Amino acid sequence: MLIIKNISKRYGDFEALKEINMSLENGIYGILAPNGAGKTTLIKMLATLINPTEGEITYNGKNIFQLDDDYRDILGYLPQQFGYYKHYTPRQYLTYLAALKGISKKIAEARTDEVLEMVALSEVKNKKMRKFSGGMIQRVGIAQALLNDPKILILDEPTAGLDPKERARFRQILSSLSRNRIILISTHIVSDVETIANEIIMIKNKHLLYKQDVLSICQTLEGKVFETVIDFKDLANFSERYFILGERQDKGKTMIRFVANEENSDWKPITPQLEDIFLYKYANESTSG
Amino acid sequence: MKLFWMELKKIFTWPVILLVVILNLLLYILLIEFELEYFPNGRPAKDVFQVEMEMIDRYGEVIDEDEFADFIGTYDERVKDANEFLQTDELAIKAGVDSYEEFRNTDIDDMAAEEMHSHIMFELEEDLFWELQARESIIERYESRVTGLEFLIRYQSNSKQEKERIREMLQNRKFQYYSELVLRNFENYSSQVVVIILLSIAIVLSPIYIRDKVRDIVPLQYTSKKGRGIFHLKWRAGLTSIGILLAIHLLIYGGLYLTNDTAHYFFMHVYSMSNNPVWYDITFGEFILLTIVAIIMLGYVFGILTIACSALVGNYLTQISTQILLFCAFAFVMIPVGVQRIIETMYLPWVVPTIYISLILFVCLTDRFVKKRELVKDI
Repeated sequence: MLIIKNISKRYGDFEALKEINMSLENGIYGILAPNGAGKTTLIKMLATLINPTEGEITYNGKNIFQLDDDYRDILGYLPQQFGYYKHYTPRQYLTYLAALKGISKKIAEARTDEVLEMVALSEVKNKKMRKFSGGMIQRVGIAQALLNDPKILILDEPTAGLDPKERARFRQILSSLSRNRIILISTHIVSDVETIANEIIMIKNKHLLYKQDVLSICQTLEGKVFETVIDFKDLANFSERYFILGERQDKGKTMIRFVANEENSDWKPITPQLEDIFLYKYANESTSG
Repeated sequence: MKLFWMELKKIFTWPVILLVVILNLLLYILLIEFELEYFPNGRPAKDVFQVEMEMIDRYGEVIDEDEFADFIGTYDERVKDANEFLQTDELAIKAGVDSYEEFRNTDIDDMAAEEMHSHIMFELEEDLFWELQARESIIERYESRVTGLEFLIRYQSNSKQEKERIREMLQNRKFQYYSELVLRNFENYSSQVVVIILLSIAIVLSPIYIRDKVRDIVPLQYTSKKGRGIFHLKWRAGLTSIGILLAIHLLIYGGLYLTNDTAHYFFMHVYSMSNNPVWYDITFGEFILLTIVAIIMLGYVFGILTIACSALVGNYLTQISTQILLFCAFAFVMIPVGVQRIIETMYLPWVVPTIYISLILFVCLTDRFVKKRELVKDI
């Protein structure tokens, strides 16, 4: 079990993360937050790249920074910016990373072929990565994170650059792996985690906002999400009173999806989705880039 | 060990090796070739070298009065040969010159005599007359060996220690009997070799850490089982690379230096072949070994600072700028003081050792600082 105890991170006067507490067991966790919320800081602390200013992270009761290589031995990590050598082939690069992960040469060869097969890169495993598309590079990144069959898999924006088919395949891989390991996926693409995550972690203003399953989070807006059709000219007035989640033009009318704390017979109640919560909770924060 | 080889392979990539080879070829042509092709450079340097080789075989390092009388005897015989030559040479007869003494005192305003002089020296390139010039310079040096040192004590020594050292040389008859042709050639040659070595080290080792930083590979390395230990491993691979580069360069350029055929001088004391007084009574061979040790130390100091820069800076532009500054400091301070004039009394005896000790201390502190910083650094 991975336990985060009262974790804070400060850079001088700037507070990047404040008093985060949570425990993680085997399963998939989606970390949803806009940029700057402290998502990457948390991920990097779990990956031992950043030391917390306060608090500690333990794995099976032991501090991960003290566990040192024993912790990293069971860790798989895909950073937001996956780095590689352009003149290496995926096989060469994975062999290098396998050596870093302390995997013996014999096992590394078989494991490299296995993970490349998992991410559908077997056919190009001996081609230089120079000519690879962004999606292919990202798949090499996912493959390397799986090399050591990690007990803790941390993926920062793993689906960036992947097409819908690749994303579906990726979700399938993660689901099959999640039974006996902790998988943390940091993303701002709700659909990446909505269907596969056991729990969603939401961070707002450096604090933990939610760590619950999708249903429980969605229930926080139960009975408050509606759909209705209005004239386009009324839209400005409507958005001043209610929080607009989405709008669609249809036959001269505007169909809107919104959050309201009251009911109206003209409005159709809608089951809230995770994306609705995300938009509503981070209404005043940037989600770009 | 496997990772170590992988890191070593990342340091010595084919483009880097090719670049180092091109640099070496280019700098060989620009700096080194001259010291080999044109040694001894011109006349009578070439003749001095020939005569000195004979002298070393015949008299050894120290020339006593009897040996000097023998040398004068040889000189007189060669003068007789020159007289005979001049008495049969048409132009000399025409100019009215029939002895070497008259030939030496040729009046440059006398057209016929000047024409004869030029013809013999530069058109015929008659070795005998160049050889005589060489022998005269050797005789002159021998005769002024005492006054030369006295002059240095009186007018040129900068410090009390230097004066004392020269007095000691005078007292123990540690005179200069031979020209400094070979010594200066070696000093120039070795300093050019250092330039090439330092540039090769800069090219090979500058990217050692930046290569991975600019490609965002560090997070992958530091989250692997090896973790931040990869930093130390790279450091060790860097040190090994410095050793490899030093060994290859020293072997190649050491081998090339042997073509200058100066082995005759290896067992002679440096003071017996140097115009400038030196602190230590070491032989030329020992001086060569000392220079090699100095080159290895400088190579390692420069290399470690290059590796440290690569670990500290974030991009190639900063690394190149830092490397240029570092190289200039070495080229303009360390090479002249720490290699070329390493034992000369020009600097007080503690200056060069202090510089080296300070550099080594600085490198040790840098090493410690960089490694410590990397262990706790947030990525």
